[in-house]
Amino acid sequence: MQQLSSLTLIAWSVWLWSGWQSRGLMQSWLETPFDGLAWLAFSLWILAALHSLLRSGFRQDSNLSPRQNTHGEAIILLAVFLITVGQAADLRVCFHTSFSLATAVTCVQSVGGRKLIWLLSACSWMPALGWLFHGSNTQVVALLRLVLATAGVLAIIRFRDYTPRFIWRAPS
Amino acid sequence: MNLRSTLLKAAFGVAVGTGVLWDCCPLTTDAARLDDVPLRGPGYAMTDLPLTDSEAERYANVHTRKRLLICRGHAVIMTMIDGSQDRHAVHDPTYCLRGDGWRIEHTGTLQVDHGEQVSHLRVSRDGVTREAVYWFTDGQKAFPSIMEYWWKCSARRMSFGWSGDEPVFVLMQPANDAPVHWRRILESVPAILVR
Repeated sequence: MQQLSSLTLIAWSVWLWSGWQSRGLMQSWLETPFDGLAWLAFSLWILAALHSLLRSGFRQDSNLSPRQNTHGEAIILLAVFLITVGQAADLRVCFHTSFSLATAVTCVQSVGGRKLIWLLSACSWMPALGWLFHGSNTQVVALLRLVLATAGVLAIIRFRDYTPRFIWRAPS
Repeated sequence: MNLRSTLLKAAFGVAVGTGVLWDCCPLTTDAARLDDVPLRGPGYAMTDLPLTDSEAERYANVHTRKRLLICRGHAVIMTMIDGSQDRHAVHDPTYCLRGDGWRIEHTGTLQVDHGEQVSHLRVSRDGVTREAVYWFTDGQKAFPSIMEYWWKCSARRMSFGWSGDEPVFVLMQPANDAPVHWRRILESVPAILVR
């Protein structure tokens, strides 16, 4: 069995802790009009992360370059800082952001390029988005959530990997 | 194991430790302070009203009082919510109203003689127009901003209560269709402005 690196272990610990602190999300999604379809946005977002994890064959450690490792440590440090602030100030948005950062390190490994778009699309399932856009109506916010989540999924999934690769040769 | 990894583990340990600490040390709160608002005074009288089922469910974890206030010919329903036990029970009123399908026709602040400010809202839905005023009070002053409320709540939690009392949210709505002179009510009953 492959031994997990120290970073991966901490990242999964942060992921679990921030996930536990974000446990009120489900209630918010079910009860708050401006959180309509946030559960669907979250499902899309987390499935994309799981897809990335499965594609890597759970071999996060061996794939990381020293630079990616440093980035991962910086992101996890930021996630830990946000958890601490969230607990101290009772700010749930800090837990949600921390959870998304920890997911990025545990499942997606890096946040550069298109993966950054996926990470930013985490706002699609956060209740904070509903508050920011509560000047519009609930349907518009729900649509915005789906658009953002879909953009994140499209950014992370490389569809060319699924394109059938064969060369058709004309019979001679 | 390198130094950075050790520091990360230590930081995470501190985060978990402080989380447990804050959960194990609930802030003290004066549960009776909502009852300190006198039911009768010069020019006004109040009676307690029961919460509706949905209100009772929504505010199950916080101290709430709902009263009918009769003042200078006006009848208004006043709801006071003390979110000390769960500040997330206190929402931005414009957020809740818009979520319930109301359209915000007007939003502004009313300046009261005592130097306090409250928010004034006019909303409409299905041809029905309603008005409301709301504010937050920490015992020192009344203020209309939800951002200031969040900041004071966070500062209080971070300082284990040393920064002051948890602000109380107060909402007033007309009890009937008659127009309400809000400033006159607020100036007649200063006790409800700053608790």
